[in-house]
Amino acid sequence: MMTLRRLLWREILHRRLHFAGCVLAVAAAVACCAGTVLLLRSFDLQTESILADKRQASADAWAQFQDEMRKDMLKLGFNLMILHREHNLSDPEAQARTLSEDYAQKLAQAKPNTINHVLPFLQQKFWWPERNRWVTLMGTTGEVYIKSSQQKPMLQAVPQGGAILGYAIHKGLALAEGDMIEIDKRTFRVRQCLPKRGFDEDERVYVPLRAAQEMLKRPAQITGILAVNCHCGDPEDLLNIRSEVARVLPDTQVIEHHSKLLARAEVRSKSAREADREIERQAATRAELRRSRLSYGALLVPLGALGGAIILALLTFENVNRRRMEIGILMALGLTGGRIQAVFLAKAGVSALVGALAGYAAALAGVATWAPGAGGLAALAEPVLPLACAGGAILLSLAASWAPAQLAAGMDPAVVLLQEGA
Amino acid sequence: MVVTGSDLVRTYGQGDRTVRALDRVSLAADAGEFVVVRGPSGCGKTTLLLTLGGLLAPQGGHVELAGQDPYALSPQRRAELRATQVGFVFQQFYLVPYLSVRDNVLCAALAAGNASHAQRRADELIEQMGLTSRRDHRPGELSTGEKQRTALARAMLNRPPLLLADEPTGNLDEASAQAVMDALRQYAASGAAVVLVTHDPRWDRQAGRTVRMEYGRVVE
Repeated sequence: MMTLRRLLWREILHRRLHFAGCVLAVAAAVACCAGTVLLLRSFDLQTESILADKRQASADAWAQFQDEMRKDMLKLGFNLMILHREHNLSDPEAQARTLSEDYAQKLAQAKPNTINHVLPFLQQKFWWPERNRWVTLMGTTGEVYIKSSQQKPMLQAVPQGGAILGYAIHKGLALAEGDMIEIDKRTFRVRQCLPKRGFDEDERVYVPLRAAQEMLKRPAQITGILAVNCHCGDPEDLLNIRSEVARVLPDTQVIEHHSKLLARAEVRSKSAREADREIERQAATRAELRRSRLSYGALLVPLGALGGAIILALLTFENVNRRRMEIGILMALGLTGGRIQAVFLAKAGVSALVGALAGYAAALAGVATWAPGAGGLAALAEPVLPLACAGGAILLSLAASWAPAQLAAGMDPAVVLLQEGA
Repeated sequence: MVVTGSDLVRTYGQGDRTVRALDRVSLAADAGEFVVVRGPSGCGKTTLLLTLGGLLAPQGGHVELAGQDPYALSPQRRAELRATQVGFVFQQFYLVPYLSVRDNVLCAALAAGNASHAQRRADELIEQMGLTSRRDHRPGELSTGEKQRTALARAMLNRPPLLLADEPTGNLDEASAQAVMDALRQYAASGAAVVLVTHDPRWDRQAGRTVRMEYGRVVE
């Protein structure tokens, strides 16, 4: 049975090279388009995977760090020293700026969650005239209770009339517990001789706060408050204590005694923030790379499609020209221009389908080569792409073949046969 | 009349280079009639054939084919008229190079659409033309005589009432030419009108009527 389909199939088999050229033109265009889409998709998948891994690693490290910090703090606690805001820490000889004694009470009444013990103190270098030497006079009241008076005190107050001597003092002056000493014409009984602690603590003489205020002529004044054994559940709390204290006690500054712990927290926190910033930088870099690839693809896809269409159009023009005699005789036999056009458009459709298949396969192979691993996932992530390629290829082929098919349909068989016969 | 051409005028070219291929030519062919139009090359024979066959519109005059003016019809209707009413045979055969003998013959059925009868008819014609052993061969594998017999079978497939043959024996040896002429005569005898244009006077005696043309005019 002779049909247009048979005519088409026979012509394709007869002019295999021409058909292969049409298929290649379509395949190249489809490979450009599908390859670009698949490469971008695989790039996205890789980016998502890389960033997700990094974010997970960062989150894991941060969680581990928080856990370690919590454990450290549960074991260690840490101490804060609350001083007047203008207290010059870098010049110990300078006259200290003092706070009102009731600041300790205010802090205790505020019941801060992270501070367990509040110890007001007055401290100043003092010339001990009876012993002819400088000491650090430290007046303390003992603890100002935060929770209740039943709270186990962190540090007992110095009893009235008593004194506690630092290591360098009692050792240097050969004093022992129970000895009576005179300081600025006041008599104290040595209640305790402290073991060696190092630094300036060994030079201290502890007396009741009231006595120290009188001796230093600072009534109702304190140098600062020692907030002892602060426990934090989270490293971020540690970093926020300063602002919490500042809200309760304005005009103060907070100094951490266990600065190593804080430094570690700060370093780790900074590292975590830096890791997050690095992830964001990497995300931005990959986004920039994607934009660059997208703009490249935006150029390549239309160029590929246009190139394929031009080649296809030229090949179809050539095919029409080569088949002039055939067109002429078929029209002379009564085939209409519409059916002649259908023959050429059908051939374009067939080459589009075969080309789309070949082009998509080439795109898959390319992506598998250039983006191993993610290529297959990208293909799975774009299930409609093969259909879109086939549809796009058919439209492209029909558009490219339309003009030559029209030319064929518009041929005058008499002119063709006269020219062919000449 | 199967076909009638009256006062047909057709010119080619412009100005001084105008060639009057048909100058008020009239020709009619009735059913069963075998008309030979003879004349030298360039006298307008082929133009007359194409005009009578509904392929080339005359610039003057009138054509009536199967009771209709083909040039008053739309191109599609005119194509349908050709498919059912006219068969063409040319000197250059015009066979489709990638189709077998049988498929080339069946090409005529593509337009006429009588597919079921066409295959049987094609096989009969192939046998009648002595091409049975060549039915699956392509034109490139045939002799010139076989090619022309294939073209003749194609022209006869739809049993058109009018068969127009343009120098069908021009490229053939004596035996092949005679075979083609015999087939044409038989076809005319079967009730169709056959118009043969040729420059060869040998076929005058085989025609029912001979018309001579010169310079675009019927002279005898």
